[in-house]
Amino acid sequence: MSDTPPPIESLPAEALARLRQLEGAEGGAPLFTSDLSVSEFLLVRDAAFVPLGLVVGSSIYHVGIQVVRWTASQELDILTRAMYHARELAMTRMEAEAEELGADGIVGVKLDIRFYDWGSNLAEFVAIGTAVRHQDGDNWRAPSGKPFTSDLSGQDFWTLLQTGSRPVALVMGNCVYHVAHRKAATAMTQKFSNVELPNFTQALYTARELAMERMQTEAQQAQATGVVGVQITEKNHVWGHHAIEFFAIGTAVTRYREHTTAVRPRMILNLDS
Amino acid sequence: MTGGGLRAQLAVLSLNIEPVGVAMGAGFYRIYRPGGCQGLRPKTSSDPLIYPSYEDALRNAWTDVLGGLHDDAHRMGAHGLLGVAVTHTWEMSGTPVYQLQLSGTAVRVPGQPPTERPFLSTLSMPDFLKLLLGGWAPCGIAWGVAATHVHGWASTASLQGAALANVEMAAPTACMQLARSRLEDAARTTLAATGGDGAVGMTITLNRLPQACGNGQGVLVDGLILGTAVTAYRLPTQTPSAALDLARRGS
Repeated sequence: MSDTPPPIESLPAEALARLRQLEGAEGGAPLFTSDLSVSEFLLVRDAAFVPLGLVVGSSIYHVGIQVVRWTASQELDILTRAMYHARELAMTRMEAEAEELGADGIVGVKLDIRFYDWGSNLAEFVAIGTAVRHQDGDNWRAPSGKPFTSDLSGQDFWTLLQTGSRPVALVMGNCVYHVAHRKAATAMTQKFSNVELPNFTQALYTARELAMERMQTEAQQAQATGVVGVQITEKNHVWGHHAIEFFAIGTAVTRYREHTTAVRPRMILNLDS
Repeated sequence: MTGGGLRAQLAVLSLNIEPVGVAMGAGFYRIYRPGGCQGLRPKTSSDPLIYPSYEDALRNAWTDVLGGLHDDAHRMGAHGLLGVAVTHTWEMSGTPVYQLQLSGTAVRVPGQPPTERPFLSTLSMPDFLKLLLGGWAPCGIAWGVAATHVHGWASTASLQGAALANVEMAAPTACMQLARSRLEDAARTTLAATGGDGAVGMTITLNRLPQACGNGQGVLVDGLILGTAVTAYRLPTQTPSAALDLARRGS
């Protein structure tokens, strides 16, 4: 949904030096760093992928201001663009780090936002994950030629591969929406009644649909056959009750083999609870 | 006395490893925490600034307390420490005092002589068990500290001509990226010292504190990275398989 995708910018000198060391390019043995848990690490290894390093992208962004009519329900397109663009900047930088490591993909991506109290309308967007490469050198990159991205955990990544599907790209869509205020007379007459608030209902519905639609468009552009693990979040951030952001994010997947070894779960009785 | 709970201890006992007690390292340090640019000037005015003496003081505190933890584990005859937990606080009234405490459960293999350098690990006992079954072993803690600064004027949107518009704030972004890069550099250095092949479960914590420079809009970013170094020591003894947890609703 962005106007123009940002170019892959050159990485900061410190980041390049760090990535070269992870590759073992400066005479040392290659070392990996990762935020994978032990279970995730073992499962990623079992799926024939080796972790290469922790990759991070971030952007501190000033979110602009948009004036709207008090009684109008409408998308706040300036805020929508800001929230999307900043996430995209963080993601692109994380992908550039993975590219520099020669990764096939990034697993366990976490996308986080934090608004700061030390700057009005300043927010930091951070994307962090573990770059991985297939141990046999097979090409696991996305159809675009870039490393695949996925917010699936190591456990879900392993399970997905067992079923013959593979991640292609982390796809997302958002919509910041202003919910109209009720007119004073309407609010007064409804003060003691049980009534639906159609302005909120309609606004939430519209915003959610717009966010989902944008995420699906991204998945189609990534040549995916579906999206798994979709999460839809609704947040006001710092805008008060009448401005909300719907954010939809998930991992776009595609088939990579037709014949699958069906996962046959063993039944266990967990004595912990 | 051990930490981690009964079930976690059973996980370790199943590997013929026994807990021997809780080891601890702790220290209080008077550390000058910068309140502004302190006359240090970056190459250009919008470049982020590094506080080398502040970083050094934090690094020395960590090295000291980790050494105390090692010594405590060694005195107990442990082969390693599991579940190392971190408690660190600042007492800011008067002269700033940094308090750091590390503690973990000491474990040993019965019948084996003690080692000079017991391994340290942030892993829980069940994670330790899984790691061993997977052919990997913990061999130390990968850690690092970093402190960077961004000037007040560079972190103020209105002074950067962006009072109303959508715009990325270049200087604060660079400051945070620099802090993370320095943390990962430091973690890699400590990781290499452990002899590990890599590190798992790494967490990065960044604190942002207001500073006096630039009309009180300056920011000090200080951070900590922590994870467990691991090394491959044999082929996996068990491979993962899917299981259906019958105790969990909705499985």
